[in-house]
Amino acid sequence: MNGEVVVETRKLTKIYRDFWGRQKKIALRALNLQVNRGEIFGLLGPNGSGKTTTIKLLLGLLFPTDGDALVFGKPAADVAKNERIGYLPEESYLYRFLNAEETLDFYGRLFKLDPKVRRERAEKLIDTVGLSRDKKRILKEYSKGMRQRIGLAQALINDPELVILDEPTSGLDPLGTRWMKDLIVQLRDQGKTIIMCSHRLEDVQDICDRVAILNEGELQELGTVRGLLEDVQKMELQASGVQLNDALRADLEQVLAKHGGKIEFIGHPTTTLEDLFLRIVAQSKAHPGKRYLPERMAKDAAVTAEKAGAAEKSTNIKK
Amino acid sequence: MVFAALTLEREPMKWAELPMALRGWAQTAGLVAALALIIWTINWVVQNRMRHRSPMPRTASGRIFLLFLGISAGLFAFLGLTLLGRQINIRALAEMSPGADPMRPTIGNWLFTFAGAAALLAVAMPVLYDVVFRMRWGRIWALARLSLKEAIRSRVVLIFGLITLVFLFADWFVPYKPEDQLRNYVAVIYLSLPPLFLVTASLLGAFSIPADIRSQSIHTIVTKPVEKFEIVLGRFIGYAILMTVGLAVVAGLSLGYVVRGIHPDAAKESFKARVPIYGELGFDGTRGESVGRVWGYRKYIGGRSAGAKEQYAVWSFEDLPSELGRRAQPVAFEFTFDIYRMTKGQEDRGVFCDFLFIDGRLDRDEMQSRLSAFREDRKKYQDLVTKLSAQPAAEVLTRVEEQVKVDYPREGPEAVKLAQAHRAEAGEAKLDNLRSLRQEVESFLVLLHGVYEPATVEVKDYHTQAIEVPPQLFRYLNSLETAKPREEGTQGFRLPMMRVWVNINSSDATRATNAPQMLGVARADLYLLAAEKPFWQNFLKGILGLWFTFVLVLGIAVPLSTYLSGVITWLCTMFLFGAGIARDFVKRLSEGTHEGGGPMQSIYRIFNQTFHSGQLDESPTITTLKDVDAVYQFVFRLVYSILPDVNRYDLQEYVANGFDIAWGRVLFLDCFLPLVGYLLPWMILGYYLIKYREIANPN
Repeated sequence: MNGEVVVETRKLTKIYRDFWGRQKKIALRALNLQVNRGEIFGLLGPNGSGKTTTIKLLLGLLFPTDGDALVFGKPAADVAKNERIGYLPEESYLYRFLNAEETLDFYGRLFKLDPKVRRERAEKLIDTVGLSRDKKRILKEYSKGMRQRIGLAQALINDPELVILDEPTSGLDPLGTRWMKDLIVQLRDQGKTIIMCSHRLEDVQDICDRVAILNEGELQELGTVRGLLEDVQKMELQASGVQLNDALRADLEQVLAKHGGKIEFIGHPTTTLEDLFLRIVAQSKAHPGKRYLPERMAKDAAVTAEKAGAAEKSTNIKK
Repeated sequence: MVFAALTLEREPMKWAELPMALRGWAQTAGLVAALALIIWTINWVVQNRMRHRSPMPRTASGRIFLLFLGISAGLFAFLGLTLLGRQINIRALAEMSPGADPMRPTIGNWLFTFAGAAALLAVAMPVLYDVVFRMRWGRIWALARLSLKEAIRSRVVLIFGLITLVFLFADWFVPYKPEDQLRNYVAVIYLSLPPLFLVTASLLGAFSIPADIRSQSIHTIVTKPVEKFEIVLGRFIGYAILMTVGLAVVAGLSLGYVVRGIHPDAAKESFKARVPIYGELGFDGTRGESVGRVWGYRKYIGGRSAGAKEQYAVWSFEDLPSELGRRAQPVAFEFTFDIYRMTKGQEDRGVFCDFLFIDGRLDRDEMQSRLSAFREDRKKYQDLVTKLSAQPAAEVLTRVEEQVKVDYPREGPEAVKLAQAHRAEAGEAKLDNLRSLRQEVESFLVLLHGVYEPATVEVKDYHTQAIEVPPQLFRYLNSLETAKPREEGTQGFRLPMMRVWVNINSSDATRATNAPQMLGVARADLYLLAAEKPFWQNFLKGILGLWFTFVLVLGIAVPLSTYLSGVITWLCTMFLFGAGIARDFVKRLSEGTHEGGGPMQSIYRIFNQTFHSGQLDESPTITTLKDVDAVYQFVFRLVYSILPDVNRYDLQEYVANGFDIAWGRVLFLDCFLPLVGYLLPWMILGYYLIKYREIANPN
């Protein structure tokens, strides 16, 4: 992050009206935001909170009722700014009669890309999103996850500086979700700015640098993820190399009491379900047909197997 | 002979009418643009007031737009003043108000034209700016390719295969009379193709963009550096290409279908595309009678009865190509007349008519004297030829020419010079018998007198016949053109180059059967056959008319679909197309010239069971109804101005009757330019509709 503002909204307001101009719904109220270069910015909120409206206003798909939406310092309605933007819609609304290659070729043609560059980039992106084997199949035959991948590829065809992702992990399985999150972080590491909105709070928590929380069209919270989640009234301590027992607990209570504190919870940390799932899948791939064993049990099993192996070996030697 | 008269209800536009047409277009389209500008200006000011911004544009293009807006507003305001001046009798202002006759534009008409043009420019400026500076052909082509792929992969093109049904079964219903066969085959093809292509074009045009908006696929496009209007152009071009390829394939197959099924006799007569040169029709001794037929396309001349004046139909040819005079072969004049019999006449016999081809500068008396001289000389010199027939042909000709020089010391040498020049240029005629020699002498006399009178022709009802005129007549006319430009006649019009006089023969031998008959003639019934072109070319040119029609449909549907839903767009397009077929009817309503009056009078007639052609008695009720109809006229004028002239692109008559469809006058001037003129406002409308449409707004 270098502090350069890539996206800015000033009192951005959107009111939906009917054909006769009567007000139907206030989708966004005087939103003030700034997104800096090189950060992953998350938009959070329940359904109808104005996340997608904000994104559509930034992309020029909707016109503001009041206020301004600036992208790279230009109004959102300026088409030229789109040269530097990549957009992945909530669902991958691509043309289903095209195959992956044709899809990227089509979207590539909409930019001023040299044909050779366009072809090379399309090839590379297809490889990146893992669709090399399916690049000749039309999108109609793709699963939702595959469509999301090719959707991301089309969003990156112009090597954009700003990537806007609307529910990027929607419809993806945990593996796909992890892949997508890793890719988003990679993109950030390449210096790109990412704006994403998602219902999946854990995704936002995992990868976003800053988040804005919206509700009913109004900004409720804005800040770094850590800053927003941190509870300064409490403290967390992680330790290794010692066994948790009553003696240790008593010692800790004594130390904390000395500083006016107390233990609220003490125990072993848990992993996330996502991590567990990924480990199971990875192990299953590495050892097909074998049932997954948790790490601790796997260690014990390995020791047992080692011992058994050694005993067998010594028996053989004796023989 | 096969009946092959070209009957057009509306003549194709002439080059001379182009300025008037452009003026009319600028006024009509400009008025619509001005109305749009008023709405836009009010909206712009209100919107900016609401957002506390200055409504003044800040860019250069915005200021140019404002300039044209100001000019247009000023001129329209002044026009309003002139109309007010006319109402309250301020002469100075009234004189500057627009006149009703488009052929004679007043200052007011010109002001109206400039005001309209300024409004159009104001509206078109942003479009032009974007087209020139922002849009990229590469993107439009990418979108066009997408449309093509979509249509092909969704198997829309299979609909073109339905034409095979026509090929398979149409023969069951096509009458096999040789004289009608080609016309019928052409009609089958030209009636089968439009529904196929128009339905496809309208469906593709109407549903593509709304489907993209509904499926939100368009979001992935407009978030790229794509001008929204590029989507409109891309869709339009893509579908136009698809339809063009489809039409080309189907047209090729259809041509094969027509050609393979035609009777050899019909092929001999009909497989051609005549290039006609038409004259203007006038009458002498009559004003052209009506025989009571509902369709007043033809007027009739009668045979001379005892004591009555001879009646003539006269075709005046303004200008003729000079190459006619250099030809070796005679120049054909074809004609197809309608015979209206007052008595039974002779069974299986036509009506005998006289034709006279003569220098158009001559007045009635000069014409008579030239004709008499021609007749006398023809007899005299042909007698001489008969007398000298034992001698070689060249010597006979020389003797005749010497004699002419003696008989006509002033004109004779010039005629001989022209004859020699003609022989040198066109080649020596083959004079191997007395008949050909006599013909050559007659042709020479044409050069002397500037008149040619063929033998009496038996004209058959609705049959295409031809008279061959010696090319020497045109050489004579060319020499006159070179020597002295034509002066204006007594009525202030430029005299024609040539006239053709036609009358029913009233000699003693034919008077009894001929005199009571009537000969129906129309302008296009007699023409000079300048050339004959291949039928297949003409067939494909006719298909171009169909191409214009579906481009028109696409050009309406695609811009409309930027704002309306697919179904509504399709219905609107079909309504406009259907109403466009009845455009002439709407025109009559808008001008108040429709028999039976406007809607209110029509309702009155229905309730009072009054015949539609009868005049209504004047009463306060009728006056009120007529006043209301006058308001309707204004509405119909607006409707008329937005209806497409669909019938213009129907070129079937040309193909079916074997008349060449001229590239310049018919295809370019009468089809292409009006199409561009009509679609341009639609495209501009499409530009604004999609530009200011919130693509992602669910409403």
